[in-house]
Amino acid sequence: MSDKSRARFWLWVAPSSVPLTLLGSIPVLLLAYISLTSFELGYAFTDHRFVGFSNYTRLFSGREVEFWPALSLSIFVTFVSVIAKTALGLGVAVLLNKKLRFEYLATALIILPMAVNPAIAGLMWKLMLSYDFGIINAWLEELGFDKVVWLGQAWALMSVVIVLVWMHFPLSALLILAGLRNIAKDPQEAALMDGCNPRQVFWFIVAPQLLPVIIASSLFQAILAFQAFGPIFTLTGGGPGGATMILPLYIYEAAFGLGTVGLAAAAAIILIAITSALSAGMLVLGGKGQRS
Amino acid sequence: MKRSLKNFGGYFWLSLACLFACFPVLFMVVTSLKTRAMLYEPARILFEPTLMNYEAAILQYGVTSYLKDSLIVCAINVLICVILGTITGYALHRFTFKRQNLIVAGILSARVFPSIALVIPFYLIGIFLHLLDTYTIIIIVFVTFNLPFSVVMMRGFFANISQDCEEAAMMEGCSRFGALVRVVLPQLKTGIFATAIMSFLTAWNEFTYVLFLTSSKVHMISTAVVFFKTEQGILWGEVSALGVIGVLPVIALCFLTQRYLVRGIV
Amino acid sequence: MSFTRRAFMLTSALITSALVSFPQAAIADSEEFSKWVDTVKAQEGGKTIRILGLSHPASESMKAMTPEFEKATGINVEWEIVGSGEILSKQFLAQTAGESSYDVYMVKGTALAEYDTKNVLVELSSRLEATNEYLPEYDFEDIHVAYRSGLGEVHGNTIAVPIAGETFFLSYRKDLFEKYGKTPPQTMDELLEAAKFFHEKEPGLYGISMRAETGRTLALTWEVFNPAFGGAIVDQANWDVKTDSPATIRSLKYLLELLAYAPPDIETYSWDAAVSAYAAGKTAMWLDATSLQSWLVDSDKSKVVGKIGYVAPPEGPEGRFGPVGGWSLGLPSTGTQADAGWAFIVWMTSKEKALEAFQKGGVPSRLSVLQDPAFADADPEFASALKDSLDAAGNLITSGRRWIPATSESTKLHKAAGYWAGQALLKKMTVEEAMKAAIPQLEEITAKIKSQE
Repeated sequence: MSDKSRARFWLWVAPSSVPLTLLGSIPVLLLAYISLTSFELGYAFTDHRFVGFSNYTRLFSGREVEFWPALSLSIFVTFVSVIAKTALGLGVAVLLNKKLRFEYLATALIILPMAVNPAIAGLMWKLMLSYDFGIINAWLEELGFDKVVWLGQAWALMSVVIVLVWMHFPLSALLILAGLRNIAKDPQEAALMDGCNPRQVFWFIVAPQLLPVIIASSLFQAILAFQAFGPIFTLTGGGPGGATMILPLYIYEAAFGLGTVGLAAAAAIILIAITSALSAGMLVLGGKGQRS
Repeated sequence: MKRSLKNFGGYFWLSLACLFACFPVLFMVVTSLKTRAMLYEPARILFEPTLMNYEAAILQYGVTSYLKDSLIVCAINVLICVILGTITGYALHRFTFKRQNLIVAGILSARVFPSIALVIPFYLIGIFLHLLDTYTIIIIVFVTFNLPFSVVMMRGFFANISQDCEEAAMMEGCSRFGALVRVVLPQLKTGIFATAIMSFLTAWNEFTYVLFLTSSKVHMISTAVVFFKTEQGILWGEVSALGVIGVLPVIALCFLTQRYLVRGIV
Repeated sequence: MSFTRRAFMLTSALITSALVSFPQAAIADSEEFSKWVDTVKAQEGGKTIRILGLSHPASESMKAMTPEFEKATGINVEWEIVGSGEILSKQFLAQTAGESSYDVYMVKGTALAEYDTKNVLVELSSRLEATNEYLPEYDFEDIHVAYRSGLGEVHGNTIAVPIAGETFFLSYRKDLFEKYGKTPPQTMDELLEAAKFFHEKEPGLYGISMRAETGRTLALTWEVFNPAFGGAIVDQANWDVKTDSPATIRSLKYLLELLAYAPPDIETYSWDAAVSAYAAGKTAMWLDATSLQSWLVDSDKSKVVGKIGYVAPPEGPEGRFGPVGGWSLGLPSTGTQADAGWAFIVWMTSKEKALEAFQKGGVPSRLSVLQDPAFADADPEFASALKDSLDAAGNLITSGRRWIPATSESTKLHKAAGYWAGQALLKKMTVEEAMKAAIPQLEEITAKIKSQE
């Protein structure tokens, strides 16, 4: 690219990329610095000790007993919910692609979970899943089953997964639908005329082209699931007894519950590292997809 | 006849999915119309609706005044995201060169930072710049994590537009920017609406940053929920009413732009 | 004397004595109080103060009384309400930043040590002395010692004035106790026996409901029982870790035995699950906060209205003790209008306005209110149980100890202790093993406390 074009390019891109880079990086650098200190909430900001990497070693070595469980819970929740969200999203996208009669209404309804305030949505699910006052248990009883302690030790994690799937699957559905609509129709029609049945058409022609979109949307969902805070905070608050203490909640507890901001910052940097790795993966794949 | 049978499976499963999606929202609406005593009978469908929860939320807690602040902040956020997103997305699309993905990565990286992690640094920065509890700082924070996605979305939409019209306009003497505005933009309506809705939605429901970076001068509706988590338990009716009030503007917006939205997505 | 003259004198005597003996209407302030209010108006009138409060009946009551305050003193009041999860963070964040836009804080009484170590609140003794001089009627000593000390004093400094205190007591199902001819338990042994007796006595009935969620909640419940057995997680005089002392182990074993007669998922019970279980009629007894009593007599929430009685927490081998918790009002050290803020605090916590505050939904902290017939007559057993429980709580305070130790690291201590106690509750370890395993973590925390002293 010529020098003149390059200058022009920067002129166009600067208004957004410069502020963004600054605004994106300064808080993170500040956070990284805090993670190397023993800063605690309530003391003046200048009143802290530099402790190097000891916050990180404390977290990783298990000295902070709740860190590894928090990390593994996050990984588990992300893994399970992403699979469920993608599968559900794929199914819905395929159905919406069929251009059935109430397509617009269906799309509007499917988008609803994304429109509600996440904290309030968590509270609504908390009420619906309540043992005594929950509508889910009321129905179970009517149908003759036993009531389930949805938010107790055994089921709380599953309830968290259900709520996350509910909240985020519309996004998968929309992204995959966009991907489906972009796939050329001709090869499909040609295959049908040659005698293949629709199922074969789907699995051998459509699906391979859909794969990049599915992977990209899965990674995006993984980022969302890993960071999810609001709904789980109101649904279980990390309980009972730490059964749903995922990493963002651990960070909240450490920073605002105990005031140990330095430690929380270290955990937050770890969280950021993970989501950045996921997003880098997304970019790499997205780049590949664009070129093809 | 055969066709509708064949599609019956499709209708059935799609209806199920829709039910799953909208049920909690319906539940929220129904709960907002129930008195506290009726909470003991969650499955009851026929009951006398009451507006006392809405009364409490609006009159006693003054929730509707928060709508104003939320609308101002989110509208400005959308404006900035759409304008800058379009410009940047266009540049990224039209000027292709090797290192481009790196820049996109840089831009996109701001998206992945969880709010809970960055609240404290932003708070400290806000103190330092004396920007706490102002519209400015919330808008800055919102734009920081909405703009990246807007840029990427707009870049994607540009891909669907042929360059020919642009070239034609430029040959007739328009500057590149002029060409963008006059020729390309009108074709982009669906993309712009989609981007606007996405950035509005993420800003409208943001909780953590709003809670710690604002207090009295700027009061947004996403944090009003804390009033109803009292020491004596959660006021379910009022919370539901708040939820409904909070989701109405979103639904109204989507309804107004639905044609563009659905076309933009598909 | 003629008949009419005597009748007239008698009648007028009756009327006069009646007028004198009727209690003064709460509408008109006493003269002394009005004078003080006028001085405030002259000095602070026209200013605007901001209060950071909690979503709590006490704030509702204060908000209801605010127009009266504004009219009397000419000070404008702006309220900001947040949830209990956010209020401390907001206050400490403001402290870190070095500035606060508030003039009065609602402070968590059990976290006073943390407030003090971080210098968040202004020391109030000189102000209290001054107030006692020009408004002796304020009568700070009238506030029950359990609250006055427990929610107001720490490290020898007075930094807050109680507004909504609470302690723990025992509530029991009168109907069940009468049916089986049992009397409410007065000692720890009797409590255990009663829980055992009623557990599964009838279908769906459990012995007792308490909050026992593993973690900090469990530790806090355990600490209610510790003093009665002479046990402690840490010694509050020298900060040595005491989890492996025989008395401490004994008290934890007692608690775990008691919890065996509770609903099956008791290890997940936080305060709202515990009170809901009792209010739904699932347990024969309930040991928890006095402030939740309103939940039990609310026919919207409770199925046991009219069937319950109350009694102070049981006595153990070392005596009868109780916890103190709740909320107070304080002045932020970074605030700018301390005098106007102080006027607000004095007005809201004054003896003059105490009964009115209670009637508007607030929580009684003053002996004068607790002993007032208006309060006691509504529910005599509750009133006397509350007083006894407060006295038990006072026992703990006067012995130099607190339910939540007076240190900024108390949350960390209880979190750690509660984790290991939870391991014993979940039967993953024996009590002795768990208590031994807790020591390294606790010692790390107490080392920090000791270095701070």
